[in-house]
Amino acid sequence: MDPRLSETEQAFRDIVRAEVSSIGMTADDIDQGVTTAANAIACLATAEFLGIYTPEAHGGCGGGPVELALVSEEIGATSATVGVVAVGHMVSSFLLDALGSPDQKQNWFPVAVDGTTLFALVLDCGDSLLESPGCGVSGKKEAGGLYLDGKARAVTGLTLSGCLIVPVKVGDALLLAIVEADRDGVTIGVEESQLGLNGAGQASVEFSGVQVPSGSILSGGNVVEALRMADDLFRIGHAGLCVGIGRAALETSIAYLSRADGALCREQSVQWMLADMATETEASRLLTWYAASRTGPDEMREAAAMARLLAADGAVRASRSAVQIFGISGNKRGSGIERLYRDAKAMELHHGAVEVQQLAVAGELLPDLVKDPP
Amino acid sequence: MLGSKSGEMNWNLTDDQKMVRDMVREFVVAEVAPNAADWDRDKYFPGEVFEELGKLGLFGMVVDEEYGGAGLDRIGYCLVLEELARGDASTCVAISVTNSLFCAPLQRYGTSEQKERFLRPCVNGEWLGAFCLSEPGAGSDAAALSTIARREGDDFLLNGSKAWVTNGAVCGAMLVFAVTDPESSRNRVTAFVIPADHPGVSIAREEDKLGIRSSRTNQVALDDCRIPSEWVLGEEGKGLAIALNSLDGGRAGIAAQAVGIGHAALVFTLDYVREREAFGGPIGRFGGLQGKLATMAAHIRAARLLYLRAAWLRDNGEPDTMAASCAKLFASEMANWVSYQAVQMHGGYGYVTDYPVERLYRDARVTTIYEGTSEIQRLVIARQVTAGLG
Ligand SMILES: Cc1cc2nc3c(=O)[nH]c(=O)nc-3n(C[C@H](O)[C@H](O)[C@H](O)COP(=O)(O)OP(=O)(O)OC[C@H]3O[C@@H](n4cnc5c(N)ncnc54)[C@H](O)[C@@H]3O)c2cc1C
Repeated sequence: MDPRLSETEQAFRDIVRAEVSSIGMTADDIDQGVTTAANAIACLATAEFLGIYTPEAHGGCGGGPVELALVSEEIGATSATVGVVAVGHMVSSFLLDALGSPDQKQNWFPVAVDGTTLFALVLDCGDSLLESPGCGVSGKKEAGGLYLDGKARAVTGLTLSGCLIVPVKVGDALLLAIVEADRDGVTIGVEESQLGLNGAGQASVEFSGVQVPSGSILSGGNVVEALRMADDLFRIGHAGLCVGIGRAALETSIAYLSRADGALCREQSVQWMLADMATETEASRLLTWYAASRTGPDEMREAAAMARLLAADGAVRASRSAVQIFGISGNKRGSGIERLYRDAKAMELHHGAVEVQQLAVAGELLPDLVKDPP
Repeated sequence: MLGSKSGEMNWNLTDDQKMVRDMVREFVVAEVAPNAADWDRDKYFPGEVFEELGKLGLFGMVVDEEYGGAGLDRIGYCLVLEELARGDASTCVAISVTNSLFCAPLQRYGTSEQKERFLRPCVNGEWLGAFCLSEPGAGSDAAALSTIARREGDDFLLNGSKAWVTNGAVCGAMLVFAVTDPESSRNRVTAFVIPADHPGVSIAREEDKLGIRSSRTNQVALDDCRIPSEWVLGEEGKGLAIALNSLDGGRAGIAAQAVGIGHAALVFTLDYVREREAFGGPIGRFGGLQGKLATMAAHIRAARLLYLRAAWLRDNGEPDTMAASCAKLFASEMANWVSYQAVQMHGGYGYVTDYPVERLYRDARVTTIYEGTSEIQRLVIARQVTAGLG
């Protein structure tokens, strides 16, 4: 056993940490709509690590779930909003890699890796991928390709993205279509102001008779299997973001205490909050790393859902304590502290709510009693 | 360029670790778990089963091979404790105290004569060890000890009263911490190793406990107990450091014990919710219970990873104070919450002794108290994360 990061993993994490710090200044601006997450993601793209699921031959850095967890923690510690968009983008690359033809990869990887085109996965943010794939987008095959009809309520990254990856039901079969956001028949709603994860480009989308050429259908593999894996990667990525929020809550609290009157950090009420933040963040991190290093798909599924479950709860608790430690100054918009708390709460709802994760774990514990575990 | 395919970080156990875990699991399933309820009811210390555990080498797991021990690493050791606790937390604590709080400090600080005399019998399965730090008036505040060891020539004369001594009535020897220099603030306490049947040592009281009832917890009286200076463990005046270091090492073990209790509670509950019917079917089909079970499982898994990590750090000679405290805090609070939920899901049946979760609920309770309460763990952790501030 060796529960540490390997040297390469550590070096990778350090590079990511240094790069991500460059977007830290904008996190509150993104939250308040002064700037968009797309700009921040473009910064991250130049550092290449958005290409974790892009093979090196296509300009990516060819990593795996552990790297995904590491990148997510770093981004989550800075801006969970940027994080959820980045995770969606990275998981889209995974699907392109798993299911795309050589031509399709040639076509889309370059713009995905350099961040000029953001990819969003079309699924309702409250749902898991497989639970309601495509959120009711159905397709008809006719001359000239596939025609899509249907809608999704709340898709992360939508208003920021140039390309959408849409799970489509065609009869009983499931296909994945790549649809440019500006295609005729695609109507994207406006982003609404939310409690947390503001600026993540979440909006509704409607497809009415959208034509998708056959070259835009990803069918080079087992779609259901790939979506399952993507679902687990989402869990790991989002768990990583939550660990990042917890870490940020702890680190900013400690930094605040170092500036504040020394008596404050001798208060037991403060000490205990710090201890619980540190303990729960570490527990979530280990579980996330553990999930990311599973090799069997079932094992990864269960562990990833557990990690997602624990990490979201830990993030809420840690950020709530951080606001408490900062006192009234932590309550101020733009302080960065209350944003952690709002973002953490939104992570409990976002893409696979707590209840969905519980069901996934319960499905492993009680396979005979849990109906259709996601 | 940057990344590497995943798989370098690994949580795989070695063959040796798996072997010892499986051996203990088999023994526990056959000999311990089926009897735990009776032992608990009768407050019966199962000497005959301990004889077998001793033969398996479980009293000296952490002792070096040089002294005939198994030389088991911390990870393997913690895995064993988890297995024992799944069957019976009382059995687990007796083994844990013997290894973490008796053998380990003797191994680390003892002279070769002390090891021959006091460790060998553990290794041979002849006796258990005990650790006498707490007193009626000094628990968390270990520095407030009042047991006195007065030097008289080459001897020490000990007087005082030790409280909460696990294995007190069933051990062969004990580590005793006593004040040798009342004036000093830094070198006040010295550690001694004393045979349990030594004149002047007596068992003053047997505690009647909420949980881990088949383990022995005693008050030990020291009345003009005269011992030779060869029984001083480590340096005179350095006893408190020895005690704290031993407790640091024991914390991952208590975390493992808590994980064992939590795991057992979950497993029994999974069976029960399949079996018990209400409103026309098994209660396990209710989403609210499924969600609870999932959260229990996630906390158990996380607690296990925390203790494995703390054990790994100790095995690799890295600082483990913070990791061990995190593991102990998280795992013991988890065991209490998980066993509470387990009782709840059993309804009235969880409240009576017919089902094992009632005992698990009581057994879990002590894990947030001994070897450093949750509050003390929080102070340790906070001190670590704010080092350099204030
Ligand atoms: C079954 C059992 C077996 C045991 N086995 C052993 C053994 O083998 N050897 C041994 O030496 N001891 C043993 N103990 C003793 C155990 O370690 C102590 O009970 C424990 O350390 C707490 O000490 P105390 O009981 O004196 O409580 P106290 O120290 O009086 O604590 C009372 C309460 O105050 C809190 N508190 C104390 N100090 C602080 C602080 N600074 N800040 C905030 N809160 C604080 C505590 O967390 C606790 O909640 C055992 C105890 C039990 C119950």
